[in-house]
Amino acid sequence: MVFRRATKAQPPPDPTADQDERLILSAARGDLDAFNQLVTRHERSVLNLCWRMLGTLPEAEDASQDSFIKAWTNAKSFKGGAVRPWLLRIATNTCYDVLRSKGRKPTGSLDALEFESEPGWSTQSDPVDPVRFAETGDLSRLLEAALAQIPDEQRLAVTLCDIQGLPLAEAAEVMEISLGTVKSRLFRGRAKLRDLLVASPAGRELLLSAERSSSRESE
Amino acid sequence: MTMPPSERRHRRSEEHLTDAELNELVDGTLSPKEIERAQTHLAACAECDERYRTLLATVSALQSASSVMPRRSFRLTPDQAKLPVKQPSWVDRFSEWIVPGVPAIRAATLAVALLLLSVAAIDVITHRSDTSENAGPAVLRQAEPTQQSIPAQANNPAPTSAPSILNSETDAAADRSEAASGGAAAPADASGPMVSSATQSNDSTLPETGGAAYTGEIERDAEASPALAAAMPPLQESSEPQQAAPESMAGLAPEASPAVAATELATPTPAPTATASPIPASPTVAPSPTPIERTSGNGGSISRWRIAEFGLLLLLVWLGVTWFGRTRMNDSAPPDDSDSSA
Repeated sequence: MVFRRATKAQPPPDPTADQDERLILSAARGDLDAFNQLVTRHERSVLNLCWRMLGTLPEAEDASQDSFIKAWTNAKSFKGGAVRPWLLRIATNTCYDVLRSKGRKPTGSLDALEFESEPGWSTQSDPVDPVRFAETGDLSRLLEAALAQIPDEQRLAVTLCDIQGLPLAEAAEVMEISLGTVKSRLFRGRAKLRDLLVASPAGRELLLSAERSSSRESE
Repeated sequence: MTMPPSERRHRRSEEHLTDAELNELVDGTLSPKEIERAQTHLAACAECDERYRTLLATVSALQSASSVMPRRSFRLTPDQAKLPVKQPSWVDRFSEWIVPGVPAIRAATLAVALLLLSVAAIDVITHRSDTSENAGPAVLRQAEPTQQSIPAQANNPAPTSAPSILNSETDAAADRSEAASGGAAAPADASGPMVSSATQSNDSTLPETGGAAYTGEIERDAEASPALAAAMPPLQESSEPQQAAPESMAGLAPEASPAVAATELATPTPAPTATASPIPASPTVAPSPTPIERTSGNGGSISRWRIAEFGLLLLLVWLGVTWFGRTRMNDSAPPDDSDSSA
């Protein structure tokens, strides 16, 4: 039996961090163009985090824009370091505010989100052969539904570490918790997702066949 | 009881792998020894093997999960850069109106500080006035024993105390009354002679006819100086003990009010008889009105000055805070302008 790692090796820290820092320092002095360059660089990351946390694209877009406006307003209070975790932290807090205002507690809520699959969304998936596409398409739909059902904090950890591929230390910075707590939330979130996926025989079969096909590829 | 290492390893390899271990295995963060044990266990345990493989597939699915692309790139416009994120609440607006440039929490803190200051200041002021008010009764208390001692000393000449007190109370008024009464009474040294006359007349029946004119005049004087009577109720109270004496003496004015009774007591004192015994109690009691009047007058002026000072202080503090707030607003204005121009 061949053991393989599912996750890539821990991604290196953002190579453009220095440039980010220069831009945010310029923005703190009132340079709006510099700030808009930062927006362009991190917009996708912030938007996807908001989308995973809130579930709908319109809400995610609003939260993302609010986050950037907050970042602009608070640019002067940026204390140095990496800009991406700082921006994602602002976005996370914005999402928690939205969740609170919608009456759902950010922690421990197992209420399913009404996860809307909007056909107009532009998703970025690698185009694969039709059979495989159907298979992963179903699995991906199943995964989205399961993601909506795990607690927000675990979803945040899974989103940051597995979906966005942030190093654990950066995720800890975003979530303002210790490395051990990030690991714990990540592991519990993954395990809960797996349990939700294998709860139905079809889902279990989907997962196992996906694993078999990817292990064949790796061999 | 110790277990041989080989058996312990075997026992451990039989235990199911935890979710944390499986996750570590997926992430490749286990130590080589732990990986070896996990491999051994997974080869033997179908249940853990399926848990591992499904977890692996879940993480793989997460890594290739779909993502959204921004429908249109967001750029912060100068207008958005200028606008605040939220409209200020009415509390903020109110505090901005009260104390410009100072956020609500600081304004609230300032308000609490001013409240505490005012409470402390009012406490000081009322404490001062309390002590000044207490000064009056203290003098009275000092004076009372002398007044009470007079009837105690002379049971027979009980009425002496009453006129003497009256004289002392209406000291200034008596002067004026004597001056007003003209030649009928001796114009000078009115208090002394009256006291002495009262002491003289204690055994005799009081000549009502002779006193009539005086009664009216002194009553008028008592009316002319109502402020003195009203301002010093303790004095009226202190004169009440003496009321028993006149009433028991001759029933001179059984239906009259205490003040009238007292004035009537003074009436039978023809001024010409003044020289007989000038020494009695009047000097001992006489000082009492003056200190009382002085202390009460001082207390009132101190309070008024204190309040005025405190009001001025509050005004200065408010002006200072307003100035501070406006300065801050002016300081913060240029960066906003430069932001918008940039």
